[in-house]
Amino acid sequence: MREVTDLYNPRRIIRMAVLGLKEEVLSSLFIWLCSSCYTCFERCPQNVKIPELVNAIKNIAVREGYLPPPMRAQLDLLSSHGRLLEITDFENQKRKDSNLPLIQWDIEDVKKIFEKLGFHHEEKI
Amino acid sequence: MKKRSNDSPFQYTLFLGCTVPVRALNYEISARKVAERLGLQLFDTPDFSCCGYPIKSVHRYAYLLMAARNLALANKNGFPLCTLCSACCGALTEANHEIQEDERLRRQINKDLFEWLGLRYEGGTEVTHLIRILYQAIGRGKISVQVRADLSSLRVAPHYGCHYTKPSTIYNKIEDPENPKSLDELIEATGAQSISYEDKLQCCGGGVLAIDEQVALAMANRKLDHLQKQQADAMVLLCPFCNVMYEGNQRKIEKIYQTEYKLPVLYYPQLLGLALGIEPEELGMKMNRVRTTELVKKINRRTN
Repeated sequence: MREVTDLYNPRRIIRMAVLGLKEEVLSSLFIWLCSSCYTCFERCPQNVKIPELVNAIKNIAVREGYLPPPMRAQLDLLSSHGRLLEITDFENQKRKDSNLPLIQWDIEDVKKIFEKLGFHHEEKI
Repeated sequence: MKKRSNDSPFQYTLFLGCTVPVRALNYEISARKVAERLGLQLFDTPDFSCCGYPIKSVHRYAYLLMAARNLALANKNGFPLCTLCSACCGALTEANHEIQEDERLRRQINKDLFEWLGLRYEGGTEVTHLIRILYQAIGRGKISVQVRADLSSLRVAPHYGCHYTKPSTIYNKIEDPENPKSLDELIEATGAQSISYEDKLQCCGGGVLAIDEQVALAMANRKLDHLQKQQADAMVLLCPFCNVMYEGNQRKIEKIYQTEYKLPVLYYPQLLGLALGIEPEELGMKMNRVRTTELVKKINRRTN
């Protein structure tokens, strides 16, 4: 990631968090540029779990109201259907033509999990 | 569902996830085909949802609950889970690990799972990846003896991706993430050459595709460029999201960087299927977005 963009710099994220620059860190897009490849996790000589740390910062950012639109879209799909990619009759017909078993689109259990956790579709968390 | 009769030691519940059954039918078709050929039984369960991975960065506990629900459903028939997507494999393995190691979390998850959905999950479902099954349970020896076509002229570049080996702590260090070998050796078991290349272990960039497309494509472009320098005949991978980056977006990358790669990208079961003498059409090769005709021409079919 660092090799293709200067924007992503885990040391900077951690330093800013330690310095208490809360709003700057939570509102920044660079925390979302961690691809979760876990390369740093494997190489850190002090066993700092950097991807987990960045993930925790992302979770806090969402709680504080900073949810990037693409993540909002994913959250909406999962909380209202339980799957990320829509399965219509078209998809199932394609599967049938390829002799593959049909797939269910709406998973009620997952909708229930999100309701119970207090997520409401199209509303601010 | 009761545990089925023990007519095959290789019985697994298939976990398809979101991407494979919609956008990577060629992966699913070829996986089922080679599984059948090698005596691997894969059972389907219609109730699985998304593994939970995409929600981890938004709400970690929601992710853990989604994963726990899938693991609880899988636990009912007692077979290990066979994943095809590395993100599903990583997410379910991590949740499994957490639930089994952290007693407080396990209690909380079980309280919610039971109150809300009438389910329980105390651990016990084994999670693995199709490639791991081919490597460990089936083994290269059993694969090699069934090879029917000559792939020796093919220069194949393995792409491991990230979540198949990392974080190594959740996989109990099953494979060294800095020097993985399973895919290389599985490629060699088909008779093809597994080539080494610069940035072999680099991430595809898929994790940031939704956030910053240009950055993600720049990452994928680097690897395609390195593979062209190595005159690879194909890239072989094991995750549908890596495929979205290298095959699905290859045209777009060629346009942005004013270049031409035309590099075929195969799922490992497709390569294996060709080696086993299965017809390309039966491996969903027509669904590959970068044409594989030249590649298939290089394969010598044996008649035995």
